[in-house]
Amino acid sequence: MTDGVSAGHLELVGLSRHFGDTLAVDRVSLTILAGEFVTLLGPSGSGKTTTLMMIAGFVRPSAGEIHLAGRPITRTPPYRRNVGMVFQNYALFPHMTVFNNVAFSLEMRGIRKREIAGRVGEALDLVKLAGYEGRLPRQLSGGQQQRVALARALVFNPPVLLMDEPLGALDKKLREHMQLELKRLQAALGLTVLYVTHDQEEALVLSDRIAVMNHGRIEQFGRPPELYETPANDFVAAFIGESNFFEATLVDRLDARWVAETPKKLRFVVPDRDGLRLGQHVRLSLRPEKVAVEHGTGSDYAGVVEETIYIGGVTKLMVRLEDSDETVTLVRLNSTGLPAIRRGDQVRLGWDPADVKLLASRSEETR
Amino acid sequence: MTAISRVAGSIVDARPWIRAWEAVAERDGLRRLLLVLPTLVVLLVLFVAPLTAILRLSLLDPAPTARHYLEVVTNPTYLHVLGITFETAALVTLLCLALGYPLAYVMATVPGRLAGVLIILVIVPFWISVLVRTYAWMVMLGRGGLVNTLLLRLGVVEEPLRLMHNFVGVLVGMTHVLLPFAVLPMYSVMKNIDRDLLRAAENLGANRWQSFRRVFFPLSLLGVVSAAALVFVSALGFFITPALLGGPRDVLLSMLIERQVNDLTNWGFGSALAVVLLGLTLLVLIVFRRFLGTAAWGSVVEGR
Amino acid sequence: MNGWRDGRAGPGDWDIARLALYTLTGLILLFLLLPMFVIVPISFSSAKFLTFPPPGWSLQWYEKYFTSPAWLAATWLSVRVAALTMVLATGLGTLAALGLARGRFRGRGLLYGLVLSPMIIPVIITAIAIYFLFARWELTGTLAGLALAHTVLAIPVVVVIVSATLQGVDPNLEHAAMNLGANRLRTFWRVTLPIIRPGVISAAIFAFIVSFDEVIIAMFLSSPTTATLPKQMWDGIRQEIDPTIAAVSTLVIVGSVALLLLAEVLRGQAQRLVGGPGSRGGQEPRAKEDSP
Repeated sequence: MTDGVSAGHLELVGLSRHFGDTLAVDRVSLTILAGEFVTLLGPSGSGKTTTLMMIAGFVRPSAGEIHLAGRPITRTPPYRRNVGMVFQNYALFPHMTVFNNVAFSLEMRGIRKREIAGRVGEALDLVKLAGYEGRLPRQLSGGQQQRVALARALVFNPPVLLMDEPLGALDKKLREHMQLELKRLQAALGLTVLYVTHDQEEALVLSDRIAVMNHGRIEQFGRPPELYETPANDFVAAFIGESNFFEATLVDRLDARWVAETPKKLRFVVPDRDGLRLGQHVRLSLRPEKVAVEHGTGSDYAGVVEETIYIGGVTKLMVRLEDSDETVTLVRLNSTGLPAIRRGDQVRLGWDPADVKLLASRSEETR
Repeated sequence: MTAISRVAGSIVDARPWIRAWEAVAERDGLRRLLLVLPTLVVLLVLFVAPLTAILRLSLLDPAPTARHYLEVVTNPTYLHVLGITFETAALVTLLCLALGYPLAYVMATVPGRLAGVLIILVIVPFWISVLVRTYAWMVMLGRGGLVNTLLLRLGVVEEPLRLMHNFVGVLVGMTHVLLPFAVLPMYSVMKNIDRDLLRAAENLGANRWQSFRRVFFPLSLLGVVSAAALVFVSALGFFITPALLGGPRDVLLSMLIERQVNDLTNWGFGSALAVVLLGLTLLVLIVFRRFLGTAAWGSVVEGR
Repeated sequence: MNGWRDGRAGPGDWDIARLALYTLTGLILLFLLLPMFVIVPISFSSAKFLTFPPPGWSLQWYEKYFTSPAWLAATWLSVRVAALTMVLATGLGTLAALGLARGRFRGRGLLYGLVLSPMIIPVIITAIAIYFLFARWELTGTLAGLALAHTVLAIPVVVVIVSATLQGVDPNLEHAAMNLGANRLRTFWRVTLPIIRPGVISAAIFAFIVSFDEVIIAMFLSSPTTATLPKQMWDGIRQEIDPTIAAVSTLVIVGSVALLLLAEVLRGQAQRLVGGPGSRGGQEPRAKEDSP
């Protein structure tokens, strides 16, 4: 609308917040494009909720700027920001009916009664709660309360919707159902959503892009496959999915590849990258599902199955390698026709060198 | 899109003075402080200033002097009053704890609905005028009162006992009035003791007495200490009950203060006594401050 | 909820120890409640003196109360003083609680201590201090003087009750209102106040009771023509113990119990609002256990 930037364009520039001596949010910069679903993912205390609270205007940033649709809103009071928000425990007004909860923002904007009724009706239709107008929040189930909160946040057509662990209070089945519904709504309405969760699976299901946060900082910002396939560091690699981690030293160079060796003499071939030199210490990550396994002996990566864990569709195997004494975790589909692998079996492992990822050193160490 | 821009537009268009006020209002601490300001002013004028005036009187009436304080600490009569005041407060505290603990324990362990009834039975007397309750004890303990009538009828005594206008009357009356002060803080601590701890103790082989003795009781001590401090502090400055139920020899500090100011208009000495009582109260509060958070007072006012 | 053996509170649990404990509790409750029940029959006594049981019944003491200009004037004065105190203390105390409960500013703890101290410091001290000041300001013997002094005593009660109510309110409710476009004033009127209203009203009731029952300050501030009801009772008790006091006491007890029950009902409502499923979270288990 103004400056040619669309309404849903949200930009955080060097946003920081101290609480006493602790740095809750540390120079967070993020650009969220209109119509995009972006998730702040991180463990509790990583600063994601504080970031959201700063965007909504409830926490003043110690430093940094927030721009919405190209306009600075850093010093705008919360009630003038025009940003939709779904709170963690919904924060539905307990003394108001569903209708009055949803109508609240429209009343505050001085919209006429007749128009309010229509727009509230539309919003409740959208979340499939038509007919519940007269109920009080405490007369609704958790899932219904969640929908009211969503309708209340959407009814005034905010350019951006903030959501703070909105599904955290629901049980697993309902949560998965709501995830799909949320995704459907977001796509249908072209909403710009900034979502906060600590659940990596939820983040992967919902998001166009994910910002992984830790200790107040963004560790990596990217599309889900990027984060999973090329994690920037071992925090990201460990937080999203599982991985085998190895400390290793570069001991040899072959053409455009390096040979890395762990202290226990397990050797990997890794692709070349700028800045690598002989003798350098590196961290390696190898996703369990990238490791192939078959019965047999006589390879560099032969070993004994130490543990098998059956998890429905897949079985997780832990294999101790004979030559190096390193343990590698891998998962194997439980497809019919494949020979069963049991504890104590002799097996050979194999993987594509491209799946061995070089990680930047852990973020804490760079501080 | 048009709806958005219309709403956004109406919001951006705000008068500058509203903006200016908001700039102040956004400083949360300052804004919150403004809300406390009226009360602060009222208390400074009607509470702090008068107390300061009393302090000045005790040192300046009629001329700068320490003689009022010297009088308090050297005259055996007044030292005796101090002694009795402490003794009374201590005995009343012990009685309140002894009676209050079992009551609080039962309140904290019976099913919720019954506990609610018991809480009301404890709170209602607490909020009924101390004067009315003291008067009720005069009716109970008098020569022709309920207690003496019963004792005479049962043949326990030949002559009516003298139960008030003496130390017994003071103890009974003050224990009655201050009992809720003991019950409510203990109850509020006991109620929050995690029941799983007791289940765990029994699961580990403790019988009911042992699980009480080794788990519940130690955890309830916090409430006991805060109850004791609360009762003791309140008893130190108690006036109405001892004044009505006590005898000529049962003069407590608060009664002495009233007499000096009201009957003798001896402001200097009366103020010095008041400052001494204030000092003693604050001393107890400081010693027990760890146990006298707002929660303890809240538990009494609110009955939680 | 409270018993940890809930599932099996069968007859087997009624052993001697428990029986003894419950008997003891019963006796303690009797000690707490009996005096008030003794006053009621005395107030209907036909005797001229305090004897128990009353030799016969009559309404003479109530008649004496309702026909005595002094008693009625004292009652009317107390009602007016208490009403004024209630308005002042509830207004000031609620504002202060709003500032103290959520504010994060330096010296907050100290301020809280100051606000609560009139409840903690012996009333006799406050009474002579205010008496000294009001004598100079010529406020003794006036309705305004009494109400102002009582306001000092009632403010801490209001602050404690309203703060406790506020603590149960999810701050995100206020955040949500602002996020939806309500400024701070509208957030207060439309969201905060409706939710804490039962707590505020019950605080007002207690402020009224604090003033209506107050003796010590009234003893100093009353003049011969302006005695509050407790002051009148105090004088009556000191001079001659006539059963008119019992009639007045019975009326005071009935009035107080009615007000307390009203406050209790309101507290239940407040908890339904702040502890309902709409604001799931840390406060819920507490709210549940609190509700009697």
